[in-house]
Amino acid sequence: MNERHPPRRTRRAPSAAAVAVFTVVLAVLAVGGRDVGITRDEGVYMEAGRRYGAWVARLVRDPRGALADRDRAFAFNWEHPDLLKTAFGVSARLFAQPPVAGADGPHDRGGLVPLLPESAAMRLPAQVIAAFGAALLCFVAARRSSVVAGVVAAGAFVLLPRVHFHAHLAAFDVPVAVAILVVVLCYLRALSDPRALPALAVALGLAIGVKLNALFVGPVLYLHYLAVLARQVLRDGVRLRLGLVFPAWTWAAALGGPLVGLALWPWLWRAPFERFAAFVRFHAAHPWYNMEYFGQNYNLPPLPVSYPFVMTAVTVPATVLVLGIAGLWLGLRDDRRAAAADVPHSGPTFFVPVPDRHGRREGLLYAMSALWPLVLIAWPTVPIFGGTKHWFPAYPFLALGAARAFAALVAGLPPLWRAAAACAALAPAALTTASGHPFGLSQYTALTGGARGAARLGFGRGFWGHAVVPLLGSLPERGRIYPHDLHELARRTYVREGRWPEDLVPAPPARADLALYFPERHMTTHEIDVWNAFGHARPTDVLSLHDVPVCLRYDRGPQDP
Amino acid sequence: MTQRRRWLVAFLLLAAVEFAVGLWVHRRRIDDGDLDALADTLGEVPAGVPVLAAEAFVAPHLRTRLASTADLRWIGRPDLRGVTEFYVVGLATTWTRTLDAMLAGRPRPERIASYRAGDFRIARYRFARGERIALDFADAKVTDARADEHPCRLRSGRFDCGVFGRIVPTLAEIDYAPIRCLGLDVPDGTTVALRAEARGDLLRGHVGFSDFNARLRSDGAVRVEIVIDGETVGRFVVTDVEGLRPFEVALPGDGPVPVEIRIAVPSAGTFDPKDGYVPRPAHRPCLDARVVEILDGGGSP
Repeated sequence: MNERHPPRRTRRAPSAAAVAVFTVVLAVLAVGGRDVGITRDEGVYMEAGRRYGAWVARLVRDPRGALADRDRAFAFNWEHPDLLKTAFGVSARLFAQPPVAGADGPHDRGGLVPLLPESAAMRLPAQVIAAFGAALLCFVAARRSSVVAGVVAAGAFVLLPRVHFHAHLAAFDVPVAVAILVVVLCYLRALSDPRALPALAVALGLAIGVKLNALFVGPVLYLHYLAVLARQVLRDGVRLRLGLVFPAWTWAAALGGPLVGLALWPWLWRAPFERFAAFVRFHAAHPWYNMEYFGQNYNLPPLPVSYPFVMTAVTVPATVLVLGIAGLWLGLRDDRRAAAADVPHSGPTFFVPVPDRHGRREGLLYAMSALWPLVLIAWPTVPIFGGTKHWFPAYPFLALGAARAFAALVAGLPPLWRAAAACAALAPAALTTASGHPFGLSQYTALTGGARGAARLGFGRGFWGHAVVPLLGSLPERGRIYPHDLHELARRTYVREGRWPEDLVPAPPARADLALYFPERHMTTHEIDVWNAFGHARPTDVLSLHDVPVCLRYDRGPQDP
Repeated sequence: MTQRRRWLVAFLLLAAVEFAVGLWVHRRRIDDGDLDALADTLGEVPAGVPVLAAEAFVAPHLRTRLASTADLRWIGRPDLRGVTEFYVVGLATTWTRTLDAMLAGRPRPERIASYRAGDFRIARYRFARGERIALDFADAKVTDARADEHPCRLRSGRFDCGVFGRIVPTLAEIDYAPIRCLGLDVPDGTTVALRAEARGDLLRGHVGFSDFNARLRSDGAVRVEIVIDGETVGRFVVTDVEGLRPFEVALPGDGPVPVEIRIAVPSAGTFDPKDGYVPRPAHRPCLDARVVEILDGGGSP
């Protein structure tokens, strides 16, 4: 066997594994998505998708008119970049079934190939990106060690209960984590290969087009590069030059990334600087969410510094967390060994600042990429954002770490034993995720005690008013309902899909015939409003995850148990 | 065994433990059979004997079947003063730190019986010294109310004070919990006086502010003054960062005694970034006050 050129089958194995992972993950998300209720934010993004999708359709028919009139479409939900919402809308234009008779709103003819309910069609692009992220992790880890390690990397990402939940949604949190992974991989390549510079610019632009998290990646990459450069200067005696302080990749990222991002963000086109400044101001002064942490409700910064770290510990299964941290540590150790062994063959240049790929300090890069999203949320002056989803960009790197540690653990074992070890490594995460579906937002790890344990410890039950799907079938055909945290745009989407009776309309508790309540500590007042209005506190139905209520239904009228 | 294999075995052990624990915790424990068994066991508990949930997440399940747990009067009780006997239902435990806090200074009660109803654990507790509530200010029928010395008229279970607003018995959210109390819907600068005559051993109560959103938008404090038999025995200021602020005053106990609670409300509105100070939504003070009689030798509820 020629050792420099492994057999074709071996070379193709990572790609084949990645394709398989992509297919399985997408199928699971597409099928499971029907059980996951439409979250508050999704209701808004879906409405934006309808408007942006209509604009794209007009762009095809009447480009000049559409371009002149773009602000009217993109003004809705301008506080997030347009790219994904446009993809949601285009997907609906392609695949959505028409709304049921009587439901109002735009786009009433359905898509070109009406295969899916509208919400499923809207969710499809984000699900494809999530599946692509899993496949990419599998491919990267498989190329580095083995296909089994690749499967562990993919599983260590998509089998996290929170990631799995969010991966179903027409939202940005999993897509931006995947986009940031792509940016980091492109950057790594671009350090030694100038052909990757355009890919870096495009990847960063796409990531910016997904969500604002991407704006923080640049400084992290540059810090990493400075660490690499410092070693070249201090250890290898490389002379410091301006072209090395700001090499080609920094220009590709600093100029190309924003330009691509701008091209994908029609709302900015009319007044890029002014509107981008408004976007930044919006998020810098973002309304504070309420976070329940060890029984205390936080709605004023600062959150305890421990918050993202503890929340990671209680929502990421221990096997994945231990493997991931061990792997990141092993990566740092690999860096030190490479540093001791390597001497660059040629000097660094503007286009190739790190000529020897073993000198790229990959382990440090992954560790920094896994850490900065948590540090950002822990920073005392950062506004209180939502839950674990805000540091999802850390998890792909934790997954790569898990694969690295797994490969080290099973080195030398026969293939069958490796496969069995991979199953064992992922089984706890798979169990936690599967048993938490479709309420993964309320799921906690086994060692936390699951949903019951978390409720006893005083962690949040969930948010976004999504946990309602199992109750939809029992709603009355007409009447007035207090929907609590169920967003009106989410409710309208259910109506459009025929899942919510058109004549069951929202009303305040005092005028409602029935009420929904999604338990959250700071929402207690809304449940008490219902009790006062209905004159009793007896729920008709309690929807729960492992006994922990996630949605309660109350009905007005005599309620003798 | 090599170091690497030892690490692998340790890791596989961790995975096995996490998986096994997962099988135990990631499952439903409360089903209709458990609730039926609970209803059979506690369905005949007399009115006035509280049935409490040890774990907050269990409470909604209990309320689907047990009338006593869905009784708004008992849901709103912030402590166990005035109670002689009670039941606690839980899955993992029948006593928690929340219940310790609800003792409000009383010695821990004795567990006089334990039961199982399906997966539920039930414990029946009795205090060594019984207590009963002789008078509850939230029961508007026995309270005389004035706002800035203007008499308030009792109409449909609430006090109408004309231009001085209303005093309303209500179930209000204070410190993220339902509290049965007298809500003071009065204009800025009003002093409310609530008078009653009662025989008892102590006056126990709380002052807090409702609701959550109003607390975010105002830090306005109230001044509370407690007058027993014409003599001021307590004066303090309450702010919403204190949550549900308790107070307790000993009473002579040898006969009916006039009790008056005065609450001065300097600012009842909230602050809005756009409009500044606005009367609505109101940062509403709410008073829980009960005259408690201590029963000799335990007694019955």
